[in-house]
Amino acid sequence: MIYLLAGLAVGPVYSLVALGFSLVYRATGLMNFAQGQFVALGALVGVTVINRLGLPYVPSLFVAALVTAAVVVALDRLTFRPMRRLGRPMLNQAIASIGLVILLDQAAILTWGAQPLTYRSTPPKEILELFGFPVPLEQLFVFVVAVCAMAAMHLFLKYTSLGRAMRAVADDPVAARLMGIRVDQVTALVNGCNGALAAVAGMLFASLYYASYDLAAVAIKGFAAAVLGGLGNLPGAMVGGLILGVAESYGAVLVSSQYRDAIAIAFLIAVLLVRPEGLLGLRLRKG
Amino acid sequence: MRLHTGAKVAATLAVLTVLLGASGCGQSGTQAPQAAPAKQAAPATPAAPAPQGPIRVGYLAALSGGAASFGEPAKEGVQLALEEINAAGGIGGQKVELVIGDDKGDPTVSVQELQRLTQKEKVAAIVSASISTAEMARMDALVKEKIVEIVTVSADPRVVVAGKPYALRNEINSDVFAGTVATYAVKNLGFKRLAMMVLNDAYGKSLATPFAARVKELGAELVAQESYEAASKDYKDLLVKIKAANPDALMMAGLAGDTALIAKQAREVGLKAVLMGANVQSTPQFRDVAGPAAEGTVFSVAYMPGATGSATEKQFIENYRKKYNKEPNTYAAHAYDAMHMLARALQKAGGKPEQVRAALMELKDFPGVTGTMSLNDTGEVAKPAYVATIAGGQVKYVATIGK
Repeated sequence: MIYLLAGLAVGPVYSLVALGFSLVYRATGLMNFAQGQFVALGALVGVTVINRLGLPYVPSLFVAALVTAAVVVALDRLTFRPMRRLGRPMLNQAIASIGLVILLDQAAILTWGAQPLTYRSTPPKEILELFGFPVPLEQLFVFVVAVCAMAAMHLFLKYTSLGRAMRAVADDPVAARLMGIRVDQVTALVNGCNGALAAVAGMLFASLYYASYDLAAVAIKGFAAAVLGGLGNLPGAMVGGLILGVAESYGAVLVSSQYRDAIAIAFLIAVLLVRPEGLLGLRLRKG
Repeated sequence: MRLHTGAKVAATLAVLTVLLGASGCGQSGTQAPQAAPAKQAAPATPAAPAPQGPIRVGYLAALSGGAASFGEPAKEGVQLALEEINAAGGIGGQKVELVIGDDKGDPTVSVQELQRLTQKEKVAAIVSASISTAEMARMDALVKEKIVEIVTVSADPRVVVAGKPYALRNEINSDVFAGTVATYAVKNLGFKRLAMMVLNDAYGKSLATPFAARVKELGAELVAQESYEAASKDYKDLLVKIKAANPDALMMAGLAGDTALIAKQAREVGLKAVLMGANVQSTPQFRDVAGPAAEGTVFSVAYMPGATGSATEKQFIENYRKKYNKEPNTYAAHAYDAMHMLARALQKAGGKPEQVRAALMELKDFPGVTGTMSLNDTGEVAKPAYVATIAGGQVKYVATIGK
């Protein structure tokens, strides 16, 4: 039961990372290895906003989301857009994203240091007792915020014209351009959404754990979640995060803690052997 | 097709260049503040006696990257000691000059920086605040360069060993850190059932092994032991397992950030055992991340401000506050002591690098700010360790264990 709770709280946060990752992957075909760094960046921007500017936690989520979105859009503009224009192979773009990993890690250490940092304003820390089980309010809060962010993203994609344009670009950039959609602007928007989702995930991770450049290592599991649910599949990204969170918790307890990460990855491989397209993936993307 | 592969290769090369460029930048950036260039520029008059320039002492630690949290405060300690030494007339009338090397906590850079300090900068001896991995990497190089180094941060027992006599240590090692807290748990608190959470790396194991040994030696039982990866940051599942074993106390063998998360999550899963640790729990990071869960944690420390009650220490704290406008921590205190020990030894050795080791070994009951110190034959320090706890968000002295 308690394992389920622990997995449930952190699962949706993985999902947020996976969702942003999938959005970008679908729109541009890019495997962006710096995704974890965006998450860490969001968490660290949160430190500045809360501890320096003195904003409370919830408004800070929005500020950090905006700032991180701007950074992610700028990075795409400077790195991947020129490469896309020149028609560089995806492999090269992925390698460029590894360059970003190093750049962002070092920039984060130079700016915020390598020590674990904490927020002065945090979600509630009390621990409730429900049916004999301790339920930390913080985890409940994280769960609710992550689910709200996912729902907001979902509604945005489904019911606004911008969201429709984003999905159109994701489905077929060429057709979208022919239909009069400004693909560059929409791609920038997709990257902005990715940055915002990553920042929210980062601040949630940071309140559960702490803010530090090495949060990227945790967030990278969002990759696994995205693949598990079906790469590029948005509901899949959400489900993948949840399942990964729970599988990890159970695996560590039932088998051995030393193999915690190995179990999560073995589970991932097992699923992909049976369903190469991921749990909810319908078809593999062409090209 | 040919062109296509060509373009691929070109782009890959471009990326690699950027990567190399980025790391290169980091390097030159951190080397910029290093050491004023040698002023002596001695005109090579072959008949002249040995140059009467200042005595050069090296300081080697990570000043960038994750391990800089040890290297930075230790550097402040060394520089404070250096000021005092020079203000008192230097060593045998010669001024002392500090040459700073940044090993970034990286094994390769560690060896390179050591060679730069010895071969190019010609230092007479070194104060080190490197982490264990960097320290271990240059053990053989130290022997080859025949240069003495006082280790102030790394607590790994494998750093100071017989047969590689150039690394000496003025800090207690992890055997003592873990043994102290185990002794206190079993003997003073009367605990019978102990559990361990062990960080799955060299540091975690270097604490876990002696802790387990000491617990068994004293007749208590180790009822649960779990090992964890620092990167996962969620340890609740393991803590639930530990809770099921119903221990009196949980030893957290790890670093500040991860043991703080363990403390926090232990309370979240309702584990009521007393939390224990070694050294890192005295850091503000541990208290910040763990929050209220840090209260009552019992741990061993090598330096406890005010515990020795000596005038030397009071003076040190006062001078440190004046210079840096903050409280000294254990790394600053040990590096400060190391610099003073080295100055005393260099004085005896007449500034000759080859005699520094013998001179250091002769220092008996050296009155340092971290306690009264003598080195044993291997080069490890013999001095008391302290047990501390956290009460009201502050580190409080509990007991002194051992000589």
